[in-house]
This record gives sequence, C-alpha cells and structure tokens, in this order.
Amino acid sequence: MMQREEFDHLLAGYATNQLSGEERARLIEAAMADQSMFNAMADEDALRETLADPQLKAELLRTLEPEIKQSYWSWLRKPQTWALAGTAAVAALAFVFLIQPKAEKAKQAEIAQSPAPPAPIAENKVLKSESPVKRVSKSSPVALHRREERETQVADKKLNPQPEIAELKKAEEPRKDANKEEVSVVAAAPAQVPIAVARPATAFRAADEVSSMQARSKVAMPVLRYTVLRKNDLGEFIETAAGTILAKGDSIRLAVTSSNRGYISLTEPESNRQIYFGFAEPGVRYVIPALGAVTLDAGGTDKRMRLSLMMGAGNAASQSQAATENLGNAVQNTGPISQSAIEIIVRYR
Amino acid sequence: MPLTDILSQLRERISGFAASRISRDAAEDLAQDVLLVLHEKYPNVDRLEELLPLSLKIARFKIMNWRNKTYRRGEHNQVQIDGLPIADPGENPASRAERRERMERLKKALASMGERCRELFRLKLEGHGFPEIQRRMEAASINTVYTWDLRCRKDLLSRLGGSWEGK
Repeated sequence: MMQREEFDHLLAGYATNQLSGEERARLIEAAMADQSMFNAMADEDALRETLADPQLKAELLRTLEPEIKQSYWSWLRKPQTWALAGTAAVAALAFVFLIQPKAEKAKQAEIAQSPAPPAPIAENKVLKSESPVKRVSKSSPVALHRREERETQVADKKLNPQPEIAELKKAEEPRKDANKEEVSVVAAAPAQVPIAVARPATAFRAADEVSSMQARSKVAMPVLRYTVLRKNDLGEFIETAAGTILAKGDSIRLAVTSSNRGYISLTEPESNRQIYFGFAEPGVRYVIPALGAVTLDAGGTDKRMRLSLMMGAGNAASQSQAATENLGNAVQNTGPISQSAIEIIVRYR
Repeated sequence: MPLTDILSQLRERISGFAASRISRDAAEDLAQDVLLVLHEKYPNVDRLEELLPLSLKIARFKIMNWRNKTYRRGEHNQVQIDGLPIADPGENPASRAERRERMERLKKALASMGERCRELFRLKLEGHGFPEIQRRMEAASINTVYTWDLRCRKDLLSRLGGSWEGK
C-alpha cells in the first residue's frame, strides 16, 4: 500500500497534469484503496478540470506572471524600442529629404505667382483664418523667407496706409466683374446656348483662381469640386455635360468632391434653407442631396446655392505635412478653423 | 480486475466522497446515479484510469445539481429527498458559468498568495516537473519542493473556502 507521503507527492502533480502514465495509475490505485486519498484526489480533480481549459489556464498564467524588474538599460532589449526608433528615423529622413524641399518649392511658386486672372462664376471665401505657420522652426529656410516677406509687408503698409481687407476686396473686385462678364455673355448668347453655369471645368478653374488668391493670403484653401446632375425621364440623375440646357422644373443634384476632410453644407442663401449637411472624406464623390433633389422653380431664371466646406481641428491634424505647414495655425485651434464656400448659380430657362 | 468489481469499488468510494459533501442518504443515491450514467452513456469506458476521472466529473455535476435543486425547493435543510434525476454530464451554461466563477476565485486567491507559492504554481502550470521546479527555484531538495507545494495548496484551498469548487 502506498504511503501517504508518496501519494501527496503524486497528487501534487495531478491537477497540473504533470504525472506520467505510470504515476497516474499508481495514484488512482491508491485512491481506490483508501477513502481519504480518494476524497483528496476528487478535490484535486475539480482543479485539474478547471486547469484543463487552455484559455483559462493561459488567463491564470497571466495572473501569475512575475513582475519583471526593470534595469536601467532594459528598455534597449525591447524590440518595440528599436521599432519605434527606426520609425522615427525614417520619418525624420522623409521630412528632411521629401517634405522640406516640397515646401520650399511651394514657397517659390507663391512668390512667382502673379495676380489671378478674372475668375468665373464660383467664388471662394475665407470665413475664418489666422496667421500662418507656427510650427516651422524659426531658423528653417521657410521661416526665414516668411520673416522677410512679413517685413516687406510691414514696409508696404507704411507706404500704403490702406488696410489689408481693403486690399483683399480690391483683389476680389475684378473677379466679380469677371463673373458678371461671363454671365452677361451667357445671357447674350442665342437661345440654344447652355444656360447651366455650374460646369465642372468652371468649378475647377474657380478653385485654381481661389488657390492663387489664397497663396497671397498664405492660407491653403481646400478645393471643392462639383458637377450638376440632372434627373432624366427614368428618374436617374445624370451628369450634365457642358452645353446642356437646363429647363424650368428640372430636378438637379450636385456631385461634390472635396480635397479636404470636413463637413459639406449646401444652402440656399436667399431663404437660408439648408439643403444638405454631412461629413466628407477627401477625394470621395458625394451626391447631394442624397434624398430628393433641388428643383429649378418655374418662377425664376437662376438657382443660387452656397456650397461650403467646414474643416475642424481634427481635419487639420490629418492633413499632409505641407498642408499642415500652410494651416499651421489651424493645428493649434480646437474649434472649426476655416470654411470654404462656393456660390453656385445654375441658370435655366 | 473485472469491470463489475471496479464499478462496485467505485460506487463505494463515490458514495463516501459524496457523503462528505451532502447527506448520507443522498450520497448513496448519487453514487447509484453516477454508475447509471456510466452504464448508459459510457458503456465503452472500462479502464479504471478513465473511469475514475469520468465518475468524479459526473459526481461533481450531480452534487451541484442536488445543491441547486434542494436550495430552490427549500430542501437544503431537510434530511430526506426523493430521487434524483439523471443529469447530462455534458457542460451546460450553468456549469460553464460556475467554472468561470471558480477560475475568477482562483485568480484572486492566487494573487493574494506569497511570491513563492505563486512562482511554484506558475511553474507547475507551465508544465515543469518537480525536478525542474527544484532547479529553477533553487530548492535544497525535491522534497522541499513537495513540502512547499503541499503547504501552498493547503493555503490556497483555505483561501478558497476549503474546496476547489467553492461550495
């Protein structure tokens, strides 16, 4: 008959399944011969069953994991440290060799850019913007260049006491005139001439124009692109090509693409009615309004709408480095930082 | 040993074990039920090395069911009970939940134990044999490890309220 001591030794390994086949057989034999041993084994069997579940066993092992005492240099042994250091090094190299030269080029382009030619129908307004670039190092070439430019502006101001706003208004005036000019051309055209002013190409040109204006004000404006979709007899909204004549009673939607992440809003300025409001990812084409359509009323000859993109701080943080540089002030703001708006005039007869 | 002898001996041991948990009369019936389940559901199992763990598992389920039932019926303080139905020994949601609860209790109890016991238990769970544990824990002899283990298990059991099942 097995001694209790030996039985206890075998029992010690029973729950954790450490016994060999022979040891297990001896343990069971001993348990069958003695009730107290059987009871002890039955108790351990409950634990054995619990520990038999690999998931629970792993959980228990995690609980028992010893706390590793950190030595001073122990962080060097962690692979995460090396991975992080590698990533940081690559990011730094990318910044030095790729992003900085780009910023330089952009800067040079800004300087070389002449005032914008007359703009078409769509106009873009900066509703809120602040002084640019706060993130750029003061000693970087970009910062130095900007400092020089600021100094030049200050000198100009001294010579010309007119405020900056007046300058901006002045810059916009030819644009408005140009709009009128184009509208008048359209109006003067024969009856079969397309009346829909909101053509894609026009919108892109407008965006380019706006970009040049923004370059002067040192704020990178987002580009909003749109095309007009007209509802056909089958109830489908089809993109209108240049030259398409829109008629009274037509139902239209807009296919909008934004260069930036933000909230797109489509409103009727006259009634201040919001037709659409929704979140937009950059580069994604959204058809708005998603439900229903904008009807070209029988009573009028043009439909005016205001398409705007509002960007928040979260958007700014997700922009590329170049964009972030231009909107450096935006990164530090928490609320909405800028809003870009296009006034759309759809003419019909 | 013939199967009938094995089953007879098993019945006696299970009855004795159950009697330490529930009333003597109920324990007799329970042992009988365990054998019935073995006979009906596991006719192919005839080796003692397999029969014993299996019967212990069935017995645990029976004890659990008996406790639940008597508690529901308010019979837990009565002496006599009328028959016990045969329970399916397969795991049901209740037993799963119970096992999970047992594990939580075990985790808490282990976390509250001393460093040596925790380390010993961890090494056992990792599958190390006692000679290996002796080497790792730098114990003077393997008997020292067995002694530690016995004390640790007793300590753990007491922290669990005297039973691994927590009843």
